Amino acid sequence: MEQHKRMRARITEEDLRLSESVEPKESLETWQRVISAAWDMTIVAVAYNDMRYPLKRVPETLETLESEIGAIRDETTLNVIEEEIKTGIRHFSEILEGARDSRERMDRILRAAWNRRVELKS
Amino acid sequence: MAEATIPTFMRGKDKIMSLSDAVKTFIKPGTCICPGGFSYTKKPFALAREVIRQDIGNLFVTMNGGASICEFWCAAGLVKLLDTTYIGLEGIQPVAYSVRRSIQDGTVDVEDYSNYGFGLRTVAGRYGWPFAPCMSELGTSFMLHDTFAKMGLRGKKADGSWIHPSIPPARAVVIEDPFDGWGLRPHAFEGGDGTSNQTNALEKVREATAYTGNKGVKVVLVPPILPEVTIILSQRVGEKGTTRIEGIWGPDNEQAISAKYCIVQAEKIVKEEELRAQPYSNTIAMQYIDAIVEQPYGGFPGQVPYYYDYDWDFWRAYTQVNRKDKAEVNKYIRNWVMEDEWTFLATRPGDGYPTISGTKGLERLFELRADAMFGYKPGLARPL
Repeated sequence: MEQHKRMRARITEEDLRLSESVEPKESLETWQRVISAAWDMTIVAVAYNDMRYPLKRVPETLETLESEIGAIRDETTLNVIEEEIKTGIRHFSEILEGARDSRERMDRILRAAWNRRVELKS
Repeated sequence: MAEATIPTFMRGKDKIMSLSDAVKTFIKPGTCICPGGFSYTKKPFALAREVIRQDIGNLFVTMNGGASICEFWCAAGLVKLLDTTYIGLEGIQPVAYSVRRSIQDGTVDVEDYSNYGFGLRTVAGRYGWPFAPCMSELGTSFMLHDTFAKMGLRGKKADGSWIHPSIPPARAVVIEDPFDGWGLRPHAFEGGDGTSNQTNALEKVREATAYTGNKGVKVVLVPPILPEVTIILSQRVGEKGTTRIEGIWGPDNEQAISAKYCIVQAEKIVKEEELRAQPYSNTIAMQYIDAIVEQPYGGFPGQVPYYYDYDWDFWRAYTQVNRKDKAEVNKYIRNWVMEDEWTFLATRPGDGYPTISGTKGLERLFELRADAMFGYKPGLARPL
């Protein structure tokens, strides 16, 4: 709250004073690796914006299709359905595997970060 | 890529360059330079800072979409000519103070257009049109003033070459509409369709004799912009220059293609195949890009959609700094840019202005991270 109050106060001359260059506490190489990973995750997250709504719709349309199977009269229609589902499995498996692989690594990084935090404190 | 599209001095060379080399290679004293982005958004600030570090002066700046980069260049005393439209820093300083002061004290000579008129100039430049028609400059004092003509910068020399290759021979030309207003779509608005455009304005315009002495609809022809160098910021760029801009494009596409050379400052350089997998999502084709600089967070203190938000606290403080004595502002800005970009990013964010957290450098930059679902940082404090 105190800091918020200070932000609303007029900026003083002291606030505006620039520092000399500072040696970052962390190495630049580490920061660059953090940025690189963050940017790659962002690229995927931005691309997912396109997928978010269609992906939510797919289970519903698949459920409708599933309930339709019992009403099918012609075998060629079943051929078409099978091909479409096989294509879907190929695409969705690729998405799933890529996502699972990244997600597992994220868990490992969180565990490693926690361990490092404990080490730094001890 | 066809070799003819590559400048002779760049043939056989890699487009990927350091920030310093890109500026050194393409930007010289007096260059007509066009910064891309819009207002605080997606502005190539790293390139702009490098221009200040290399002290490249006498610049002829032309751009649409806000003055944040021009403000820094004017503060550093690097601008001589300005051909533009809106010169504000949005709500925080509606007229960028260093730009305003430079115009008022005669350091900078300015030519200005309406936002729409200037936008059409960039469109004309992109498509190679000799001019673009509009009506937005009519009914104002626009046609009465021509700074560049007064300075003798328009037209041709005795040897037939242009006096200034980036300054058109006329600011604008008014003609009678050869289509008698048909293109203004009066037929689309007649007959009680509920639109507000049901006045007899067009009939009044047809009666007017201003500009040519004859009755009839008048049209303003504005020339294209033809900068020597355009600088833009893009989130992702392929190794050969294919550029993908996400979020607001602003005038980037038009200004990049209008220019003789274009430098793109990228948050990340990626393999071309990554971008070509979805070619229709790409913004600028590789042949229009002459140099690529990878500089993550190079858009600070501006915003790069989906990656990081702008640093409101910086701008709030800066607009207090830029009202100081001119020499003091010049000294401040040259000190602010530091000796190189990574030293700048490790030191300046959060430095020289109060923030809620008090964090500095790269830690401060990560505080500005946008939420990729929205493109910006929800909840970013913007105290006035």
